[in-house]
Amino acid sequence: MFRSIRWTLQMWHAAILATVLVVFGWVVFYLMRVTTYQQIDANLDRMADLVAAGLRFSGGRQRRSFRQNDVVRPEPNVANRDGAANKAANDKGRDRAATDSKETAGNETARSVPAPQVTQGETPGLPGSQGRRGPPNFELNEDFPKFFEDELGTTAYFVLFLGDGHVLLKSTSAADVPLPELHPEPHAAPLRLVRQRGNLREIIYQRRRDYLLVGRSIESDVAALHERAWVLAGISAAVLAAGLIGGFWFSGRVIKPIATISATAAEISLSNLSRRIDVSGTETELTGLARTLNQMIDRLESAFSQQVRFTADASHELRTPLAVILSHAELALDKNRPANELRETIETCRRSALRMKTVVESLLTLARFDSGELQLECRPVDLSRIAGDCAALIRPLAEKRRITMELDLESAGLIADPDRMSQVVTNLLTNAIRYNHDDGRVVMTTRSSKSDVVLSISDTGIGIGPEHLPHIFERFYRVDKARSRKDGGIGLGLAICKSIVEAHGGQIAVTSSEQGGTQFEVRLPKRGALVAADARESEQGRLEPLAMSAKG
Amino acid sequence: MRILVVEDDPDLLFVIACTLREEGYAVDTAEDGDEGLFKATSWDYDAIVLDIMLPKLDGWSLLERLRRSKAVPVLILTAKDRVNDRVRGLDGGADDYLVKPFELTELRARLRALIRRAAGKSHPVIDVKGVVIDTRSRSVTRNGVEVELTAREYALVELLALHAGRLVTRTMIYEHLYGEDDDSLSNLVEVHVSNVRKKLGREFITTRRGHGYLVRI
Repeated sequence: MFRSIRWTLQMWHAAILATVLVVFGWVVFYLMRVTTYQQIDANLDRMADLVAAGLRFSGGRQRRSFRQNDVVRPEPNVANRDGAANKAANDKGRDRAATDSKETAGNETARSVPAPQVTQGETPGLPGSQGRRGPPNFELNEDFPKFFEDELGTTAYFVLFLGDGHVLLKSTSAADVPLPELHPEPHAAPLRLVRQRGNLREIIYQRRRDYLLVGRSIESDVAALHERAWVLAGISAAVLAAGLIGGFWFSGRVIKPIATISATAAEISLSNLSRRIDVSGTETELTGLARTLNQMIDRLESAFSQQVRFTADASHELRTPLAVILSHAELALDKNRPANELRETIETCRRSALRMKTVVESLLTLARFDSGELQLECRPVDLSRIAGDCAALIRPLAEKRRITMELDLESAGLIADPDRMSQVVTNLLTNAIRYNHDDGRVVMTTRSSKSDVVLSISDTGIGIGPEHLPHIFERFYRVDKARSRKDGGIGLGLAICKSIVEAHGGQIAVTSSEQGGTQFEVRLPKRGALVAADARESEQGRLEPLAMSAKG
Repeated sequence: MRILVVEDDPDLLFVIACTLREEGYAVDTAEDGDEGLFKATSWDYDAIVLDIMLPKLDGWSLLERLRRSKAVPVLILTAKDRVNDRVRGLDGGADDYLVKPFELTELRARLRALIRRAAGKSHPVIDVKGVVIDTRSRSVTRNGVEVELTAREYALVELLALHAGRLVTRTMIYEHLYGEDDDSLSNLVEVHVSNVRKKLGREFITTRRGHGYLVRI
């Protein structure tokens, strides 16, 4: 079952569909993954800006406030300071941007723009004393980590550190973040390094001599990504299943005519040769196949019916004389019969037995021709001499009915079996006399051309109707059964002639008109028998070397 | 009893006609289909023996045309031995089918049975008022004593007995007792009737003047 076309189609279909879905799914997943990480990184970048802005502006502002009024602490009231702080921040931003832009990339400037709004609220309450603990050029907003955690939760973290690993400030969630070993080259382009530790994604930015590490857990993103991957896989499986079911149904539809053809063909047996495959409907390759099969069955049927007819005819030809012998013998033995009646009975039985002998011999001859057993004993012969001899033998039969025989025999040499040739000539001459009118005429000629010899026998007889002409070389075919039976014909003569002529590589043809006169023409190639024999031998010869080479 | 034999092989035709005549049947013969059909439709035969492979008109067609007008029993005698052919023959209106080669005794027995059945008497022995006619051995006994009859006389007794209780006209007697080759003038029915009366008793055959004869049950 799994070797059937349907299953082969299904397997291929499944394989191709699965491959396409896997590749497609993988590409989609890859793109989704890339997008997710890009989003994470963008997110981290924004976070870094926020941190940078929060730290630096606050720090910068604190430093300034520390320098200008040492004791003054920043006021906790946000609202009051709002406008001034904003303005100051903007000013400072512009200052810093101007200075930074000489050393850092342009995007640093862009990033600094939204920062003040966030940091503003957190700057107050920052102890000024702590600000002085950092390196001289840094003013850090010590409160920022708290703000950071409040704002972004504990999944995100940052670490601000120096190139030598000295941590300046970090969020509490970044308790044990290992710091990368960095070898900054002062004049190299600013560093932006992305690294991943398990579920943590971190980006390290370089700003002059200090570094900022921003990171966060991407567990939820990965989980979301996986969730989408599962959805994708689910959809792919559904598509695959639908595709396979659809494919199975479709291949079933495609296969159905084949199944019908096969079922019909299986129903066709010797007893049921009249069935045909239905070829109605649209024209497809399968209709062509069905039509070809139908033609094959046609030929089979005609060959078979011919065979059946032949068997029936042969059995009839044998049974009838057998019935005569049996019934005559029975009748003779029934009572005491006078000697002359017994003699008649024996005569009848002998006649019937001879008739059976003729039928059996003719059938055997034909069977040998059919099976190729019959060996032609070919040698160079002159057809005109054979024809002359046959005519001499048959002349008494013609004279009995006052039929004149005209011979016009031109020397015609060829290679043939002389016995078989005289059989052909005798058969045709006998027919020409048998189906002739009394006082009729039979003309026999032989002609020789470059490659062929032609024997022609024509009579002035009763003629053959056009409906019979195509069949007269068929076995047991008789135009007039009664007449032929009376004259001793059994209906095999012409069939035997045809077999002999064809074995010599020649052709036999007949022309006739119902008004009277029939002409048989036998055309034989001069090397006919040899050519035919060569063909047979080469056929056998071809097979042997092939078999040899196959073994070799 | 008159039988038509249609057979194209002259030897076979001869032997069948011969054996049936020896049985006391009147036998007509035909060598081809046309002749067979003509004879079969022109006369009332008691049975027809029909070959299938015939010149001019084959046995199938002959049977088909014959059945349009006649219900005469037909026995097909042919070399065609396939079941299909037997079925075709019997379905085509034949009453029996015999395949060549055959035994003459079987052919005769089958014909006897056909004729008997056609007359509505399926038993081979007919008993009419103490006269017992055994169609198998073609013998007649009167009150247990065997009576010697000629073939013609037996045929007449059998014909009358098969139609016992019904009128048998002189034409019927001529048609059933004499074949086409018989010289009717030398075989006057009255002579045979008179001979049978001598052997089986005057009362066995009743004469219906101007119509024919009758055997009363």
